[in-house]
Amino acid sequence: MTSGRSYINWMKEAGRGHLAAVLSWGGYGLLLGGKLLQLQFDLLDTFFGMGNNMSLFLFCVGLGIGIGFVEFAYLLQGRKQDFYFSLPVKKSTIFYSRYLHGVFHGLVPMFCYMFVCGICQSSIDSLFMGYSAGYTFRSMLVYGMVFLLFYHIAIFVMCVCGQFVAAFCMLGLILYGFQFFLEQVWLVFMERLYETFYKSPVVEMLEKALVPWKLGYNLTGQNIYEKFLLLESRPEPMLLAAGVLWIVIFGALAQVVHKRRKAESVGHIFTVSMAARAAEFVLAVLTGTGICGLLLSVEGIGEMSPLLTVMVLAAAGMLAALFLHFIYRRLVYHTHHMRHTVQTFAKGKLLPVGECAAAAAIVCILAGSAGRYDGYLPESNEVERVGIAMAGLDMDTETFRDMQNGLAGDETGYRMERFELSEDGKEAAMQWIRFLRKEQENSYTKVTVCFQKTNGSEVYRTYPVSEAMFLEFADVYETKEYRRAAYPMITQDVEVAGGARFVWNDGISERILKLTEEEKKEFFELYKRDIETLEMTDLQTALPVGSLAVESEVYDRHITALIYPFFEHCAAFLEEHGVNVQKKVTDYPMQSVIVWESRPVLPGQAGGRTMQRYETEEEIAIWKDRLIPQEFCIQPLLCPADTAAEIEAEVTDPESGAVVLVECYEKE
Amino acid sequence: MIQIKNMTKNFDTVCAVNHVSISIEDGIMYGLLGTNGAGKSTLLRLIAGILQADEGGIYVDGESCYDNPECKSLFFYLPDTPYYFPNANMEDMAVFYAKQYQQMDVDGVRVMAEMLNLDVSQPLRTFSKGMKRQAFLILALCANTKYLLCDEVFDGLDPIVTEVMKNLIREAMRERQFTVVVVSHKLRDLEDICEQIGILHKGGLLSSGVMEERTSHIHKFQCVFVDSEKWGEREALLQKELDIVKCQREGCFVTLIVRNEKAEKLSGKMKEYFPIFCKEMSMTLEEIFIIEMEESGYDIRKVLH
Repeated sequence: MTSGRSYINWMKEAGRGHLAAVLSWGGYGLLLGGKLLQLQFDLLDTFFGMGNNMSLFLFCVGLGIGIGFVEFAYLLQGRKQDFYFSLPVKKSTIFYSRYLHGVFHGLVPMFCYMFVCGICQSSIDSLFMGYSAGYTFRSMLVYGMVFLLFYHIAIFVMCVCGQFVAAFCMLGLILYGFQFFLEQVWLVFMERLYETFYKSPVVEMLEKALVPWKLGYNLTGQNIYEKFLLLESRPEPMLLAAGVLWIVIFGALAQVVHKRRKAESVGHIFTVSMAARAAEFVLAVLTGTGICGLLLSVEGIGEMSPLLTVMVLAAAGMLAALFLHFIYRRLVYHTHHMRHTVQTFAKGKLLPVGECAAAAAIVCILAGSAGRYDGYLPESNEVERVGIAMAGLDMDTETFRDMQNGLAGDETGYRMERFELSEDGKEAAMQWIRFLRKEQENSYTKVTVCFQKTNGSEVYRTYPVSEAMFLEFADVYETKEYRRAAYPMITQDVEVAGGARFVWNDGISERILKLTEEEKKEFFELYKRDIETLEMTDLQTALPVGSLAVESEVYDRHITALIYPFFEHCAAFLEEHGVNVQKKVTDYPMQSVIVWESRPVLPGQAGGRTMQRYETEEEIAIWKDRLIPQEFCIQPLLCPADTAAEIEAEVTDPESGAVVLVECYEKE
Repeated sequence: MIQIKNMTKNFDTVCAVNHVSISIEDGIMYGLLGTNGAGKSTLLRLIAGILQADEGGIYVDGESCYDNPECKSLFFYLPDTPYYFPNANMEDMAVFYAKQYQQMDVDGVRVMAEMLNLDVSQPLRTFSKGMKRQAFLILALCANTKYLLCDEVFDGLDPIVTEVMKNLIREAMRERQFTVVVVSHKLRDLEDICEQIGILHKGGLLSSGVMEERTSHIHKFQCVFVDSEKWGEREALLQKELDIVKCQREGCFVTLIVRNEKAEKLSGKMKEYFPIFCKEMSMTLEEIFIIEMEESGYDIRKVLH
């Protein structure tokens, strides 16, 4: 055995260009310097490993791809490849020595960076010290996985392609192909054809696990911004498993392709015919289904009868897949003459048939499932919890508008979590939803629900709600469970709130109530009594007159209760303690009223927003009785205000003498 | 010994090497001749173990050489444009090759380079084409492998450099048991150094063998006649009696190439026509192969020029 045949010698040879080493060690050196500097100034929001650390994540991804390309560039360079392959060494020795060289320069500087950062942060951050070993290890693990994932993808791409341009295209297909299918096909079909679609946990899970960069993003916790949460958090086992699977699959594929790869395939688009056919199939199916996704955004396609929609989309999908097949053959197999193209086309006729069939099948399955999807309602015993977010109930006008237009995803999600019903509320909600689905009247508002099933899965649906059904929602609203979620102060623990401040706010001025612990306890009891007798129809009669905030600095809990004029017990209690609950904006001295109105204008024209200022006593007198503070306009359906104009009232607080600008709406 | 047995190599739909069988004995210099695209370089890359044959096989000292380091350590492959590392000089390359070839003589590289006025510490990228060829030939010879595979090593070089390189090879062959396979598309590059030549055309092997053996049955005579106007009648008579391959007359000067006759008989026959001068001349490789190939139905002139 010559010494040159040993892996160590070949690893040394792999490092001849030093490019991978310079990229990696240099990059991590810079990152280390920057991160250590950042840690000196901000310990709370600076994460050297897991957590929101986009620069490290992007560098790690780039390094994986970069080192993969640098190490295996010889496979795409004919002269260099001939030179290596003519030497007395096995091809596999060159491959593995290059691989190990890349792994060494990808992982070792990263581990050094993590280790040094971990030591430095432990020495200056006492909170971090207890977590330092675990956090550093977890960071090494997930970032190591991200590097290997992209490194293996890059190696696979270099093995399977014979040109750099083709390698970059293939890389793009692997990184974004599945994401394109999920976002531009699957989700588009659901959004356009499924009337009750809100979101799909299956698609989200697939996107997290099967789109490589999203997997890396979630694995490294880029969406975690809070230090305390981060230090306690662990990578999801499902994501770890997906990461390992990707790494193994791409590693194995690269090895198999390298073995089958012929030296003369340098300069060809693909080095193995199987890869050319697989890429063709994937591209044709993506094109076929992608065109259907695009077509669905055309006015009228989604409104046709379901059968016609499926037929039109399937035909379009098949045509697009065939077109791609035709173009692909011309590009990849260099069939520049039409006759040759047709011959090549005919030669592999099973493949285009398969591509068309796959595109059509996917379109049919996605479009044909609309009825089944919309008609799905789990049985009550299959459901453990129901999260429910009713648009237009206990929310300001702007949030209501956003929820109606599907723009308030975070708020809807938050409400479904807040109104998660599992007891009497769940039964009432399931009953109400069952009735709701039979209603076919015009949509007055909409409700979004999350069925958390006993098998652990989650099913989301959004339903249009008629006015009658909205009022029927009282059956749910008036359950104990829903009340607890809607008015959390009724569950307030007096032991906890004992030391808290009680602050009354009427929309203009704030007042701290001096209450003993007994009085606080009494307030909670009275509030509970008012809520227990509250009916949803009561909310149609009046808007809140103020809010009482319970602020506890010790427990970092702030909770606010809106006080309606029909809360007799609470109102009496507050009156007793010096609060004038009847006092409104109109009872304060008003300096002026500014009214902002918007009207549509033609494109390119100025204006569209006008401002009127009313300052005379007569003008103010006209406006005074019509104003309601925006923060109390929380029933846009039950007790709506006129939100066409945005009004600002300049009001003087008699106690402080300050002029307060109060944002108001006009009473309807 | 290199044995190529019924080897075929296809590149997609193109058959680059078509059922070729050649035996190259040890200690000789074998020339592979052919036009561009004839499959010479492909055949050499197959022998070097860079490419894998679709059919047949190559056996070097009885072993298959594809992806076989033991077998490949017997070879040094010298392509038409040799690869070298960026900024590497001859010394760097010698050190690199020393790790690959156990017998590599790094000091020998320095000595030979000095003889040819090549600076071993100067980056190879600054060398001219001829200098690079010489540098890599030195590296190849100093690797001390049993076989040297050269692809178009003399192409584009001036006659002096070509002669220097040929001398280097001859010298090495004198010193040790050394087999060289040289690929070229010019017969003149090979005729003075190769003992055996194989001609490839469109992937197929047209001819292969030792030059002297091929010329033993063909004789070339050059004669001068005073009464050259009577030559027409004489030629008709000779055509009946002899197997004339070629007969060319320029004034009194006649060149005759005849096959399948003994030299003495031919000489006597020619003297019957009373030439002023008549002598058997040695044939060039070009003449022999033109005749051979034309007989086989190939327009071999294209191959040779």
